[in-house]
Amino acid sequence: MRRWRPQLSEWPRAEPHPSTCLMNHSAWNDPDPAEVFHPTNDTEWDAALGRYLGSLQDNPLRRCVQVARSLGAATLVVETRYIDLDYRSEFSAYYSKQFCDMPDTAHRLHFFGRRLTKRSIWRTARSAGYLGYVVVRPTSTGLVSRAMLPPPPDLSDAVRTSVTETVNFFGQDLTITGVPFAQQDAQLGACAQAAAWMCHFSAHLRGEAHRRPKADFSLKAPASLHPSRSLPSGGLTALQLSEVFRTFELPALFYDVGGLPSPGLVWQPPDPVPPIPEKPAGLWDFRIVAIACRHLNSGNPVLVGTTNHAFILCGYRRTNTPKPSWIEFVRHDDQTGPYGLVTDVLADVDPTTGKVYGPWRTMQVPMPEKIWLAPEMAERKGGESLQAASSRIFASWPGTKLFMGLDELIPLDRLRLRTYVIRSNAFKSGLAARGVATNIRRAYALARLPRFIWVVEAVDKALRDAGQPCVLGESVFDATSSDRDPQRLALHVHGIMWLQRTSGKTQFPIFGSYVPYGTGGRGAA
Amino acid sequence: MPEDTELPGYAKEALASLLPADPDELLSEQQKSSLQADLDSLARLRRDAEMASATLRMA
Repeated sequence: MRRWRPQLSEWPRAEPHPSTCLMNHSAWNDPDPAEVFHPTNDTEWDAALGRYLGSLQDNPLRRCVQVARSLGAATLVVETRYIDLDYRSEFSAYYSKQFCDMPDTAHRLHFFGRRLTKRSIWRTARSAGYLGYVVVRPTSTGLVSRAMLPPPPDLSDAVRTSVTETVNFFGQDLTITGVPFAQQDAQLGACAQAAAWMCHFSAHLRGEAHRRPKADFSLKAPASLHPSRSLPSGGLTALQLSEVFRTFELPALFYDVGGLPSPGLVWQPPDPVPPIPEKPAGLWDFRIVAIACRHLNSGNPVLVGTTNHAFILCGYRRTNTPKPSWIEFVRHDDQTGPYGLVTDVLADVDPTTGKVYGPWRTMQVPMPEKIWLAPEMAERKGGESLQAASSRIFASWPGTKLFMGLDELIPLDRLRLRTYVIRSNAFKSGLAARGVATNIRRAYALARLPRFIWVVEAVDKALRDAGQPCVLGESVFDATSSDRDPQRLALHVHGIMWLQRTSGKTQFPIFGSYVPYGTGGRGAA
Repeated sequence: MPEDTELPGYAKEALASLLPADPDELLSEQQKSSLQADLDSLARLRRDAEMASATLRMA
C-alpha cells in the first residue's frame, strides 16, 4: 500500500490516476464475516483503519471517521465482503475491465456508540447506539463509495436535508438519519457524479425517485454533450447533469450565478449591482444565499458548481459573526468529506483545511417533476398578498390590537419571508405540533390540495431570534401552477384565512388566532 | 394551543364584512399590474439562465 498521503492543496480536484490497483487487496474479504474494534484514541483508530489509510485520497474517509468519533463512536465493525450496489455497478462498468485484479466487493464500516463484541453483533446491535456506516471500495483513488452518518453535534441543528435509511446489520434492522455522502472514484466518476448521486439518493430515501446505482450517473450522461471522452471521466457539463437528473425522475431547477432571480419585494434587499471592472459573479451575487435557503428549507440539497468542482449544500445556520444574522452553509464535498462549513459564499475557503473553492457559478436543485412553480415567483406573490391582507386586517380589527401588522414590522426590519416546498400531507400533519389554531387546522385538513405546495411564511425576525414561535401567517401555492400565474390555495395571517376550493369558490372567513406559531419548513426558522 | 381569535361573534362578523371575500381584491389594480410584470420578468430570467447553461462544465 502506498503510504504517501497528499495534502489537500495538492488535490483541487482528483485526477485520474493509473494506480487504482496499488492498494493492498490481499485478504480483502477476510475475516469472515466481520472484524470488531474498540479504538479509544487516534493511534488505535489509525490501526483499525490501517488497511485503508494512506491511499491516494483518504481525506473523505478520515472526515467520516472524525464525524463518527464526534458522535461518540466506541465500536467499529468492519463488515467484509459487502456487496455494495454502487461499487458493484462501478466494478461492472469499469474495474472488471482493468488489467489488474480488483475485488468485486466492498467493506461496510459500522459505528456504534456503545461497546459491541464480536460474539454479540448478530443479536444486540439495536441497543448499541447505531451511528451509521461508511462503505469502502477497494480503489485507492476514492475510498468512500457511500456513507450515511448523522451530522456532528455542533452542526446537527444546521443540517436540513437529512433522510432516514434502514440498514440490515447481520439480520437486524437499524435506522440512521443523516445526509448521504459519496466520494468520486476519479475514474468512472468525478465530483459532479458524486454530487448528483448525493442529491438523488437523498430523494430516493424520501420516496421521490427510484434507486440508481452510481455507475449510471456516468453511463447515462449523454456523451454527446461533452467534448471529451467519458472514461476516464473529466466531469460533467451542466447540461449533462440536467439530463441525468431528468432521466432519473428529478429534473433540476437551474440557477446561473450573476443572473439569479429575486422576488424584489419592497422591503427586501435590492439586487446587487455588478461591479466595474467586472468580477466573477460568485464574488458579489449575494442572492445565492436566499435561493439556497429556500431549497434547504424544503429539505432539498443544492448542487453547486464552481469553475472546476461540484459539491452539495445540505444545511445552513445563522451566526453573529462577522455580522448579525450571517448565514453559514453546511457542505458535502466529495474531496474533503461530509459536513464541512461554508463561512462565506462570496469568498469560499474551507475554514478547516484552507481549501480555496473559488467563485460559485451555478446551482442546480433536483426536485420531483411536478414542482413546476419556482420559489421566487411564489414568494413574490405570497409576500405581497400577506402584506396586503395584514394591512386590511389591521385597519379593520375591532378594539385593541394585540399583534403587530406586517406594515409595522417592515420599518423595524423585523419582517422576513420563509419559503419552502412541502408535501401537502406532511404540511397538514405537522400543523398541530406547530401550534396552529384548531379552526385553521381543520380547514387545511379538509382542503383538497395537490401533492406538493409552496408555502410562503411571514416571520417576525425578533421572535425568531429569540427562539420563539415566529410565524404570523402563510400564503400557500399550487406547485403545479405556472411561474407567470402562481395559483394561491390559501392565505392566512393574524388568524384570518381565505381558502380556495376546487369548486372555484373561496371559503371565507375562517377564524383562527393571531398568536404566532412554529414554522413548517425544515429546521429552525 | 390557541383556539380562536378571542374576538366575540359580533366582532368577527364586523371584521369579516370589512374584508374582501376574494383575496385577489386585496391588491389594487396597480399592484396587480406590477405583480404580473415582475412574474413575467422572473419567468424570462429563468428561461434565459437555463439556456445559458449549455457549456458549463463541472469536474
